[in-house]
Amino acid sequence: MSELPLLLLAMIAVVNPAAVALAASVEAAPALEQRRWLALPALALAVALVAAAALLHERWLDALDVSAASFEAAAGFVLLAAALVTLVRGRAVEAGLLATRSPRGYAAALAFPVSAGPAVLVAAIAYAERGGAGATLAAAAVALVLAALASAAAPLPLPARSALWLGVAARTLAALLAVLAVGLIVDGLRAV
Amino acid sequence: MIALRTVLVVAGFWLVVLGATRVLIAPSESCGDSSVPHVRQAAASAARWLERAARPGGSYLYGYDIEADRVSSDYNEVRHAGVTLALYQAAGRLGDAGALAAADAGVEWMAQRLERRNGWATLPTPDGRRAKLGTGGLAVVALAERRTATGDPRYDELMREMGAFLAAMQRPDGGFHAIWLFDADTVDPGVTSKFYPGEALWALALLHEAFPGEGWDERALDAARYLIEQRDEDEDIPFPPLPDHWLAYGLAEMSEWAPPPDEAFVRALAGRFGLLIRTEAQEGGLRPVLGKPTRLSGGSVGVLVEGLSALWRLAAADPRLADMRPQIEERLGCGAAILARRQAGVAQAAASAQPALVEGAWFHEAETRMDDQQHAFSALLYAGDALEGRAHREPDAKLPAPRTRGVR
Repeated sequence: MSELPLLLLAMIAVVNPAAVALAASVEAAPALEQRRWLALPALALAVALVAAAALLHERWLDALDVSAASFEAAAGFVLLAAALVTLVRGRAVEAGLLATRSPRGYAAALAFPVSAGPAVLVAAIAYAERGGAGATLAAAAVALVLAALASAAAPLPLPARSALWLGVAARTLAALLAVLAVGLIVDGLRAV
Repeated sequence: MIALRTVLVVAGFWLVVLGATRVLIAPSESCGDSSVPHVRQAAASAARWLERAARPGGSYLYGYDIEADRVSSDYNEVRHAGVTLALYQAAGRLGDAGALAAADAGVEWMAQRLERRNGWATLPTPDGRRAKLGTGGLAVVALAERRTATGDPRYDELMREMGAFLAAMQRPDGGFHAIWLFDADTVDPGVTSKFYPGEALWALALLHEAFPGEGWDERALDAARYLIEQRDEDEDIPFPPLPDHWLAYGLAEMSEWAPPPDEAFVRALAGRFGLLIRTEAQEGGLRPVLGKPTRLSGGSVGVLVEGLSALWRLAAADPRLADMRPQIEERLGCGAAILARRQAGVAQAAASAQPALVEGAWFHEAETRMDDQQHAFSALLYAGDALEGRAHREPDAKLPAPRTRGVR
């Protein structure tokens, strides 16, 4: 598989739009209509955060005083932790943060950490280092758009069948993320 | 409002995950000054220590404890050969006649102890009952380094004789027996070594370059094949490939006439050296958790940098590996800087009881051993080359050899 589709798959797996949809469809979250217009500022903020991670990847490594290879292995461990939580619980660790009626609080939490959380930012730095910042940012933007659409479209209450399918999709993406995370760890440990 | 408990759970989860990753997997890496002049200066200082370590009679100072102000009474013939080869490298590359004289005395020391059998010669252990493959391998390398530094052929016959010992120790599968038993007049069949075969490989490669057409290349090729394909399994290496710098030297030496067949192995080997240098730069991480020392000795860091420097030369010669050069250079810069930073300088020497045994040395838990300086010197020499883009090991000019008789 060439670099860009792999990057897209990786960013979709780490953002996990299915898990975002599940998080957004809690009873305590804003109503569907409100969530639709809140998705846009949340998306803008999330893309800005990922852009800061991806475009400044070298500066992040310098600031942390780590080599790209060590960071890659570390990123793998972070992604693996995030993936395992979603695999076990069926929801991301941040899912409960969208249970708020406050529009600002909801939009902010949807941006960070629900869509562009630590795992996504760490992944953006690691993939920008190996695949280039532009391609990483493009792939992450697509994944974040999918997450924003998922959060805006998730009905409330979520029908049981939809919840089941979203849960399966979230776990499938988490499993894929776990595989990619192990790949990052191995690559990081084997790199010069 | 979001429940405070939810916020705390999320924050706590990420604090633990990111904190543990930072502390255990990716602590900050500290290297130091990797500028070429700084690296060259450290190499020269190490070479001067090696020269000062020369003892009357041709042996070298084995070790020194800076805290106890105690000189070690131990000795080891493999390390003697290793220091001799490093001195010849210093002689050739630094144009250092003092290093040449010290190394020539070291060769005389070996020559007086040679044992000859069945058409070969080698240096036995002090009890005279055994001979190690590693001693023979490094002695040949030392003589080859002398030949390269001076162009003087006086030891050619001895090189061939000692090469014949390596040939006698080679098994049909390309691997090597590690020990020759003089009483039984045969090899010790049950003993192998992790690192001696790599030393033998490098020696065989240098023998072919000194004496092409004599069949040394076939033996080197068999050895390289064995070391790449079989050795790690035979030696039960838990996380292969074994970071064998001697193998790297051998493969780099062979690159002009026999590029490595297994490109993936070379990449894996470079990755192993790189990982270990990165870990050394971290001075922490998982090492204390695993009960390992937070810091390696100068010799142990030196072999990592030597191995990676050799693979840099290989990558410079082999277009298939050219993409590795920037990463290797970055890691070599770090490894060389770590070595230079940890080297005892003038101030530490002045504060010690014996400044001449301190300046230019590497101390680990208050002790230094001659191979610390040997490996660290070679590492700094060749890392400096890589950082400068100098892809050949040979000196630019030959050093005049003293007029003395060759060994027979």
